[in-house]
Amino acid sequence: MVFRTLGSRIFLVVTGIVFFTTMTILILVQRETGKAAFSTFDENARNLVYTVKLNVENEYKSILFHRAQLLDVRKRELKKITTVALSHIHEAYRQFQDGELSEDRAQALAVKKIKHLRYDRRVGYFWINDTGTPFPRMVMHPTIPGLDGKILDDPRFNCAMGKNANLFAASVNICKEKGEGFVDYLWPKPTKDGLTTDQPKISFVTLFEPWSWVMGTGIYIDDIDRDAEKRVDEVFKELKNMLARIKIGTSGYMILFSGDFKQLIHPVLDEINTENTTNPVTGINVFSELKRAAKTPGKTYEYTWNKPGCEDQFKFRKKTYIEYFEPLDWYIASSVYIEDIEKPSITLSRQIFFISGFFLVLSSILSLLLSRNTSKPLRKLADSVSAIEDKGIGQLSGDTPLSDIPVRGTVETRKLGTVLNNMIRSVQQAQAALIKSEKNYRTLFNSANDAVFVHDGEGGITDVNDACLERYQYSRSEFMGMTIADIDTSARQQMEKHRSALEQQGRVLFESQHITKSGRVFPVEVNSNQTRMGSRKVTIAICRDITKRKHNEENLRRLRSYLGNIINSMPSVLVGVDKDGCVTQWNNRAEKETGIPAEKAAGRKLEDVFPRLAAQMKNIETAIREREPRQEARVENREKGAAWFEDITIYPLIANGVEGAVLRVDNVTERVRLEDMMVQSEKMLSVGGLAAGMAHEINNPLAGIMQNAEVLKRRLTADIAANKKAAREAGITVVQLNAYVKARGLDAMMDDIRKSGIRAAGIVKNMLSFARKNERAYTTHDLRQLLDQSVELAQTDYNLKKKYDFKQIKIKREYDDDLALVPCESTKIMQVFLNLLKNGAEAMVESGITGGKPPEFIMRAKNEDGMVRIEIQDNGPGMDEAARKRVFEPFFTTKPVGAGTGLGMSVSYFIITENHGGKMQVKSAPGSGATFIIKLPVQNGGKS
Amino acid sequence: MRAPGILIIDDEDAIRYSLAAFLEDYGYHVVTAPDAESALALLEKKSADAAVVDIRLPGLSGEEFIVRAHVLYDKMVFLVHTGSPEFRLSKRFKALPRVSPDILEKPVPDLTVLISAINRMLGKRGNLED
Repeated sequence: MVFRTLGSRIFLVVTGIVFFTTMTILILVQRETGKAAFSTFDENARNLVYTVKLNVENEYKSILFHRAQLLDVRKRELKKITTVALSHIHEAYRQFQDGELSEDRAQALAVKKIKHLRYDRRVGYFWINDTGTPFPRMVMHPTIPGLDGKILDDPRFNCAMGKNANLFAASVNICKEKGEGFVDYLWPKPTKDGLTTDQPKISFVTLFEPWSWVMGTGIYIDDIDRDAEKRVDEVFKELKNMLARIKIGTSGYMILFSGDFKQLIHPVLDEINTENTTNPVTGINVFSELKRAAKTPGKTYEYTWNKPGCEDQFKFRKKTYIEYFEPLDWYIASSVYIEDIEKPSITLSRQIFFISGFFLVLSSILSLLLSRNTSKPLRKLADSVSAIEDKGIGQLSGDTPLSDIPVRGTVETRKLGTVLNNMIRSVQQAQAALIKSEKNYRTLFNSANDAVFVHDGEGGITDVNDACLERYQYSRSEFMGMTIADIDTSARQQMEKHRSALEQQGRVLFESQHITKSGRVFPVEVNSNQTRMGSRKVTIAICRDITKRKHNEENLRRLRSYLGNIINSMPSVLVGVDKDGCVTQWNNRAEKETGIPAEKAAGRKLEDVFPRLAAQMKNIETAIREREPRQEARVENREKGAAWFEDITIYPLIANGVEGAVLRVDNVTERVRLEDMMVQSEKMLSVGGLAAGMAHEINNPLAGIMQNAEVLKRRLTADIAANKKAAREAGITVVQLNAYVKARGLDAMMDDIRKSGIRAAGIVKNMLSFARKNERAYTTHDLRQLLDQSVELAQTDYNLKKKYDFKQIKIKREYDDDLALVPCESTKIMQVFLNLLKNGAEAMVESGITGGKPPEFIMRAKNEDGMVRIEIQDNGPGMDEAARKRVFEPFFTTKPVGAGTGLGMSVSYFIITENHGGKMQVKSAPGSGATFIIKLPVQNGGKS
Repeated sequence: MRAPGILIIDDEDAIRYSLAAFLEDYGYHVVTAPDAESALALLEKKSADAAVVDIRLPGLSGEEFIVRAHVLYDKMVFLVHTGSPEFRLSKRFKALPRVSPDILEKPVPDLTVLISAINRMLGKRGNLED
C-alpha cells in the first residue's frame, strides 16, 4: 500500500540506488586500499631484510678473498725459503759425489745445516724424513728432537687436513707424485713460552731423490684466520650501528642474531635470555621459532608480543621477515607490528564511510522532493479523467475545448493533458464522421463498376450494389431471396473449394461463369473476401465481367502458338537467353539436338542444357552489350567419333528494353563438305595446270638423260660390230670392256639412271592427270576384263619388286554376267584399278592384319542405275576416320617417306570423277578392311 | 638391201645425238637437223625413208614440217616424238596413212620401241605401195 504511489516509488528507488552504490564502493575501496597498503609494507620489510643479507654476503666474500690472498703470499714465501734450504743438501751431496766426504758424513752435514735454519722471527724451521712405507722415518726434526730416527706412525700424526691421513705419509705421497707440494695439517707451534697446542699449519714438502729425503717446512696460519675473524667482528659492529637507525613503520625494527645466540643486534635486548624472550602462546623461545621460520618458504613469522612502552602486555600482533646467512650462521630479521601496517587503510575506509553517509541522507531528501513534484499533476489529471468517466464525453458542441482537463505540471503532464483534450475532441469528431461515412460508403458501393454481392457463408445474398441489378436484370428484392448458386453456373461444384480457401486465407480469387435472369452466360472474375459486418461473418464477392479480357487472351494465345509454330518449324536451333545466359526460348530443333524438353530447359543456364554452346557465353555478352549480331561460322563439333559443323549466330534482343539474345545454330556440315570438296578439286586442277606447263620442259631433258644412258649402255655392253671395231682400234676387246663395265658396276648404274628417269616421267604423267581434259578418245570396255588385266599387271609388278608376292593374295570375283560396257580410257581405268590393288595389297601384307584370314580381295562389278559399280574390297587394317577423309588428297600418304608419291589415290579419284564423270568413294573403319567403290556412267559424252 | 635412211629433227642436242647414235648402232643411215627449216633444206640433198619429228621446234613446228614433207616426199613415213603430253594428232594427221598413229612420248623408256615403230611404219609403207 505504502509503495503504490508514484512518489513513494521514486523515493524508494533513488534512495536504494544511492545506498547500494555507497555500500559497494565502501567495501571495494576498503578491501583494495587495505591490500595495497599491506603489500607495500610487506615488500618494504622483506626488501630491507634481503638488502641487509646481501650486504653481509658481500662483506663475507671480501673477507674470504682477502684470506685466500694472504695464504697465497705465504705459500710463495715458503717455496722460496725451501729453495735456500735445499741448496744446503745439494752442497753436501756434491761434496759426497766429489769424494770429499763419505755419504754418511755428507748427510750428517746437510742435516746439521738445516737443523739450525730458522726464519719468520725464528718460528719457521725445516724437517727431513725418508720415504719409507707405509710410514716414513723421521731423519731430523729441529723442534721435537724426540722424533729423530723414529717411524712416524703415531696416530697423532693423522692430522693431514681433510683426510685424517698420516701427515708424513701424505707428504711422501705428494712428493712421489709431483716432486713437491703443499700439505695442510695441525701442529704445535713453537712460541717464546714453548710449544702451543696443535695449530693449523701448512707445509711445503720437497723430495731430494738421491737420498730419498723429504724435506718440509711449514707455517702456522692461525694468524690469517684471526685476521678474518677480526674483520667479521668489524662487520658486525657496523651492522649494529646501521640497524639501530632503521625504523619500519612507527615501531618496527631490525634484528640480527647468530645461530648460537651469542651475537645479537636488537634495539631493546642486549642478549638473548630464554626467560624474557619466551613466546607466551607457544612456550618456546621466540628466537628459536624465528630460526625455524627462516627455513620455511615464506620466511615470515607472526606472533603476539609486547610493545616498547606497553611491556608485559603480550597482545600486539607482530610479523617478522627473516633471512639466514649460513656461512656466518647469522639470522637477519625485520620485525613489524601489524597494527602499523593496517592503520592507513582503516583511516581511509572510515573517511569514505562518513562521506557516503552524507550523500545517502542528501539523496533521500532530494528524491523525496522529486517524487512529490512529479506525482502531483498526474494525480490531478487522474481526478479529471475519472470525472469524465462518470459524466461521459457528450456530443460535440462547437470547437470549445473541455476545460476541466488541467494542463499543468511538467512538460510530460502538460502534454498528457493536451492529448487528453485532443482525444476527447477527436472522439466527438469521429462520431460525426461515422454518420457521414456510412452515406459515402453506400454511394461508393453502388457506383462500383463491378457487381458486388454480400452474402453469408452459405451463399445467401444479403446485399447487392446497383451494378448487380443492371447486369443480372434482377431487382434488389428478387436478389434478397436468391443464393450465389442461382447466378453462378459452377457454384455448386466449386463452392466447397472456395469456402475452404476463404476460411484459410480470408480471400479467394477465381474465374467462373455467371448467368443473368434472361439466361445470358458470361465469364467473370470473382474476388471474394471474408469479413465481419458487426457480429456477422459475411463474404463480399466482387464480380468483374471479363468477356473482353477472355477474348483478348484467346487472341494472344493463338498468336503465341502461331509464333511458336514458326519458331519450331525452323530447321535451325533457336535458343533465347536472357542477359545472364538463362534459357528463355527453346524450339523443337533445340529439343531434338539436346534431348531436353523446352519446359525443362527454361530458366536454366545455357551451358548446363546446351554444353557445346558454353563457349558462346562471351559472344552473347558482347552481342548484348554492343547490340550487334555476332556470328561464328563452321564451328567444328565432335561427339562419339562423329564430326559436324555449325554456324552459330547470336542476335541481341534490343526491342522493348528486353535484355537478352537469340542464338541460331545451323548444321552446315553438308555445305562445309561440299566446299571442302570444291577446294580439293581446285587443288588438283591447279596441280594439273602447273604440271601441264612443266611437262614439256621436264620431259625433254629426261629424254636426253634416258636416251643417252640407253645408248651408253648399248655401246658399252652390246655385241655389235661398231663396238667391236671401236674396241679393236682402241686396242681392247669387247669382252675386256664388258668385264670392265661389270666390274665397275657401270651397267647397273646406267639401269639406275633409266629407272630414275622412268620414275620422274611417271610423276610428271601422274600430275598431268589432274589437268581437266575431256577430249580424250573413249572406247567402250568391259570393266571385268580391265579388272582382270589389272590383277595380272599387279602380279607381275610385285614379282619384280620382290617385296611381296601378289599371287599369294586370294582374289574373289563377284561379277554380274550381263555387265554393261562402259566408255572409258582403258589405260587410265586400269591405272586406277592397279593403284587400288597395289595399295590394298601393301596394306594387307605389310600390316599383317587381315582379321585372322589370309589376305583377300573381293572384286565386284554390277549394273546400277545407268552406271557400272565396281567394288574392290580388301580385308586389311582399314583406315580411321581422319585417314579416310583425306585419302584422296594429293600428297597424302600413310607410307614411309620416299615409299610413295602420295599422288596415287588422288590421281585415281581425279581420273574417275573428272575425266570420266564417275564417282569414287571409300568405306572403311579401323580393323575391318577398306572397300573402294567406283561408279562409271554407261552413257558418256566421250562415247562416240 | 640398202639401210633405211632416218631423219631426226629435234632442237635438243642431247636427244638428237643419242637417237642418231642409237639408230646408227642398229644399222640405220641417220641424218639429223635441229629445226624444220634446215631439215627441209637437208632433204633436198639427201633422201630419208622415215622422219622422227619433234613437235615444238624453233621456227616451223614439227606438224608444219610433216605437212610439207608429206607432200614433197611421197615415200617418207613420219613418227612424232614429243615432250608435250597434251599433244594429240589432229584429224587431218590421222587421215594421213604415212603418219604413225602412235605418238612417241618423251621420254621413251625403251628405245627399241622406236625401232619397232619405225619398222612398222616402213612395213606399212611397203604395204601401201603394194
